[in-house]
Amino acid sequence: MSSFVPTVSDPSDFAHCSEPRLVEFDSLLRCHICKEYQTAPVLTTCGHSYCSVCIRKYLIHTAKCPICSKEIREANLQRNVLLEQVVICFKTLRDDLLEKLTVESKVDDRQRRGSCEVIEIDDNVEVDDELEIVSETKKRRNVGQGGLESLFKRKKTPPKVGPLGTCPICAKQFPIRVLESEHIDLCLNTPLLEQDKDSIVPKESEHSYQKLTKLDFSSLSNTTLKQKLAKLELPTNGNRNQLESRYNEYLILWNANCDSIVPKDPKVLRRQLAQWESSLKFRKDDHDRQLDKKGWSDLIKQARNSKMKTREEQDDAQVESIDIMSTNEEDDSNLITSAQPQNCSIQASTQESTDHERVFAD
Amino acid sequence: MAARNRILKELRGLEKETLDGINIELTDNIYVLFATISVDGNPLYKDQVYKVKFTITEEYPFTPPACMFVKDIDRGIVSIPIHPHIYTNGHICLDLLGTAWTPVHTIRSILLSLHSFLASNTRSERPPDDSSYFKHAPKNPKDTRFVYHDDTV
Repeated sequence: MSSFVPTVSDPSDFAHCSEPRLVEFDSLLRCHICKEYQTAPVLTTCGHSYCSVCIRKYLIHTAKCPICSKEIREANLQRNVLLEQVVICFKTLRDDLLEKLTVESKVDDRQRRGSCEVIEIDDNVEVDDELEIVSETKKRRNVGQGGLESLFKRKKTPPKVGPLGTCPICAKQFPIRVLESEHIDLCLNTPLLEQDKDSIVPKESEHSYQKLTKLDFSSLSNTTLKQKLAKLELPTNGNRNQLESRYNEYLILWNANCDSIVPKDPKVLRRQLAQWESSLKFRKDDHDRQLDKKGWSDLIKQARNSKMKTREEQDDAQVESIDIMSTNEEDDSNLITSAQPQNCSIQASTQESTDHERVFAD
Repeated sequence: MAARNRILKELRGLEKETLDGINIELTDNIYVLFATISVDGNPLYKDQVYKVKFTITEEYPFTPPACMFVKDIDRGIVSIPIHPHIYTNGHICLDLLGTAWTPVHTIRSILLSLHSFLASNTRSERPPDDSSYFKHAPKNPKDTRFVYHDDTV
């Protein structure tokens, strides 16, 4: 399985770091629809938050909140500025955080192992500090409950502090030993969160993008529709259907983008639209091909089998039978017809198979 | 693309945090996946392994995946669990897979409810309309409009 699933970011990334509770925090910042971090989050009237694009697309399907099923309207969606800032902030910190917490947990592991295998002080122990801890544990074990935490604390702030020095980066005071061995590295690698908060969290930018309005296509001629698209610098080729769905998709992308505190350039949106359109085309081709190859032959097989079964049943009753071994097309069409549901207690929509039948009859 | 990304994330989550009694099996098509379910806690299904097939469309997660029990003779999975809401052909009458689906649900939540669906069942029987449904059922369970009338199971 692991070989197949490529690396995508996912809350479970935090599951094995030293603070697994971050899994929950990570998943809270994600959209319930796309499972990505929320982009341009909007708040519904029932208080739930989704990516603007996702909820707008979903509301075309169903005008209900996916979480609580309360009726909601697209017009009532509100920007959720603070959440967007939190998400951007966390996204910026995520990799560093993950790296740091994973490294720390490795160190922790080593310490834990050291304190368990009390007697074995082997040559692999690299740092002096750890040797101290091991021997400390040994002593404390003899005394009674040592308390691991106190040991760890001891490691972080050794009893003999020594002279203090000032960190040239964050200007805080640390024992010189700590400063030289670990703090400066740490301080250099930390994003300048404490020093300059504004550099991570973008301020609300004042953009001039106006939301687009839905069009009443029935009252629009082809030419006016094309003019509208051209005004938005969108392609004007394709049939009426394509023009309409192109406008609708762009409407969603555009309006969702307006909800963001850091809106993308319209060029980016147009590229997304083009991607969407090409994926749509590919999907259609793929669908046709699948029907041709698989669906069709499966359908015939299914029809033959079920005919075979009914025939076996009917043979006993000496009912007139059809030559089921025949493979010519006319018989196949008969077989398929006979495999259709006739009086089903459950309403089954067999649109697909009737379609096939029709094609076949032609 | 959106569907693909979401499926990948879900698979990754399932890979990292496995569910008890459930194993995911991938195919080379990301839109088709299998899971084996074993419910040892229920004497009805003890020592049995069942296989579920998920077929996901590009509209996912706006529409639910098509989900049904299948047999895998080569691997010795020869039966469809006997349950008042599971038909002989593997189709499942579960509102989560139809009207109750929302994008908040995931493959994981379907698997969990299938598992509890089996674990909590005490009736060793097929749905009352099984024989008539079996004969005329569409190939894709999503083409059936089930009526969800029984909330007890």
